[in-house]
Amino acid sequence: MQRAYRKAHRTIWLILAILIPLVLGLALLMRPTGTHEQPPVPLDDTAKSALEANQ
Amino acid sequence: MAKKKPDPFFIGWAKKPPKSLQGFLFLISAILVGAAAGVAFGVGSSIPDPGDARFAWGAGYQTFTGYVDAKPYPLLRLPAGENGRDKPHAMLISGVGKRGMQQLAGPLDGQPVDAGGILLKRGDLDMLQVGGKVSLRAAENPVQNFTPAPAEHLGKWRLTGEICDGKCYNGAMRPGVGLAHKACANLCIIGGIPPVFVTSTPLMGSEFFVLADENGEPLTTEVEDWVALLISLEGEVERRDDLMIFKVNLDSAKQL
Amino acid sequence: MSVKYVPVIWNRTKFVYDAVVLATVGAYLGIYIYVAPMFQTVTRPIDWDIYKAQAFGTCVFFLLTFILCIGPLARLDKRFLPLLYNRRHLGVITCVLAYFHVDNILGWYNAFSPINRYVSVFIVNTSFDRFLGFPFEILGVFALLILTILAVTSHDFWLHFLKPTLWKTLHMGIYLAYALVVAHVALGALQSAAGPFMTTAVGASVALVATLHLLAARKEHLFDTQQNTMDDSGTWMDAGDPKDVPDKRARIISITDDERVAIFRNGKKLSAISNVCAHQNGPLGEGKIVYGCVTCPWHGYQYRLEDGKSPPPFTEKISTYRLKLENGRLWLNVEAQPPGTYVEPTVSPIMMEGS
Repeated sequence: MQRAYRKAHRTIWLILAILIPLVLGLALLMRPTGTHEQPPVPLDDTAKSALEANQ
Repeated sequence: MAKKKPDPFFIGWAKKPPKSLQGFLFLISAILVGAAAGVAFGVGSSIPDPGDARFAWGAGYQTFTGYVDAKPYPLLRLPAGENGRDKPHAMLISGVGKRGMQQLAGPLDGQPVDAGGILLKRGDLDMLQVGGKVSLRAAENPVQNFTPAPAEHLGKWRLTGEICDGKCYNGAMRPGVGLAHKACANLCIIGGIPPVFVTSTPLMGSEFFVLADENGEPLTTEVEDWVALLISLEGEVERRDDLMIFKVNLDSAKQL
Repeated sequence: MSVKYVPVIWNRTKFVYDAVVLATVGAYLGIYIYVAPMFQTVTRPIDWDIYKAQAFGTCVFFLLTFILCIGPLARLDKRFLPLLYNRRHLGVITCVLAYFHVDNILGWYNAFSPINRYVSVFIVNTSFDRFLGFPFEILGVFALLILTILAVTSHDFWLHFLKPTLWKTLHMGIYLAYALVVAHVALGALQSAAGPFMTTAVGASVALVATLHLLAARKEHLFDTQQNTMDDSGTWMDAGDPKDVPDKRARIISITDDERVAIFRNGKKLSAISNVCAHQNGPLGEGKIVYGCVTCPWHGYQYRLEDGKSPPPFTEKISTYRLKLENGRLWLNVEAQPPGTYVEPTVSPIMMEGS
């Protein structure tokens, strides 16, 4: 019984020691940061001329 | 075996831990309390700035007279001269709590109104939480010589930013953005508060866009799936006075 | 122990333990809520309810981290065993703090709406197909559910009612709760609400918990896979030189079958008993003979060496094993005697009392 418990323990932590840091790491990596930022992109002529008129 | 060494053995129900362990346990306790204090200070003192957004309670109950646009979401159109502005001003309105103003604003669409309530302010942005005695009603003394200018069309754009609820972002909650706030933002949008798009880079000086569907109608509940994420959106931009409206097709939304 | 149940048996050790725990929690919350705001670089302070929710939430996370470190720390260094005793108090306190976290969140982010605040947790965000944007609150709800079940069943009444095997299995749920809490934090607070210090602290906590558990698992695995010589009959295992068994302490032998046996020495007398305490499966072989009885290192349950029975009025009993001396070496019969069976201690004449 004790050994079964220890084995279960070991198995659980072998999985969790990979799974938990994986989830945490992915969530942190996918965080929106400055690198994702994009300036507004004009998609038609009205937008382009509005942009020019504004400058 | 090392007979001279003490052989400490802790028994929980004993009155005291063995002497040779007491020093160690005291040390551990001190480290624990110290670490708790240090981590609490580190975490608490380094939280990000939620921005200069607030209820302007100090300004008290205010009444505005102008016109109301019911679509896409209720907004007030105010003449130049209000609050020291030299140009006409368009301002979002909301009800108290997480409730929009559609019911009152709908029948008054395009008509002169009086609106009373408390201002929410975030930098140059503001919003009126309508309530109290005046609430929203047909104007008793409409402003003379003033009709709101038609919307100015600024073309089709792809913008990058985050969908928030207009009220929390404007100061009803700090912080009122981000995924931790997403449930609150969705509740606001469900309640009728306008969803807004806050861009990471300004377009013609504006980072704040009221969202609408392609026909200028309120967005469907589909918008709730895109709230609080960094996304790009495509659609027509129009300007009513100093307020930008972004008429989007949510199918163009891309998570970044 | 098993004679009667009282809510909690208090003694000085428990008072000191709880005092340290409360001091730790008090220091954390006090400094977070009242001191740290004076040093923030914010235009305007965070909403009071949200700030309190952060204080309680982060406190719960770090407490859970600490709770999960105690187990492996005690396996790796016995001096940490006193932290293991009363660990349940820590768990119950953590659960209570988690409710404060929830109360603050529901009373602010989920309030002021026509939708019921409890219902809203489950219906306002249904992006289950997303990673970022996933309704992380639900992960927190599940973790809280586990914490609550564990807190409610933490008393020894439940341990005896459910039996140690089921109870320990149930309480391994804390690992799932921790995984859920990490995901809850990673997909919620760490996305925008937390500063860089919090992000670093969460990363360090996760690394610490995972590393300690892996180190402890490796130690246990090495021990479990060690090979001992058997005699020709296959029933007697070489248990080494009796002098290697320290007085009042035990040598633990991993037997072929499935278990560990603790060979204790009390002066000249040697006895072998199961390594498994009847209370919570604690490692008896890491215990000590106190007042003539083997005392479990986890919660102090006691057994007589010769028959594996707790002294009256207690009723616990564990398996005993037979020993024999041959040519100065100790041999252990790997077949367990039924719990409570009397086995005459083996006397080793060459050893001096207390040597």
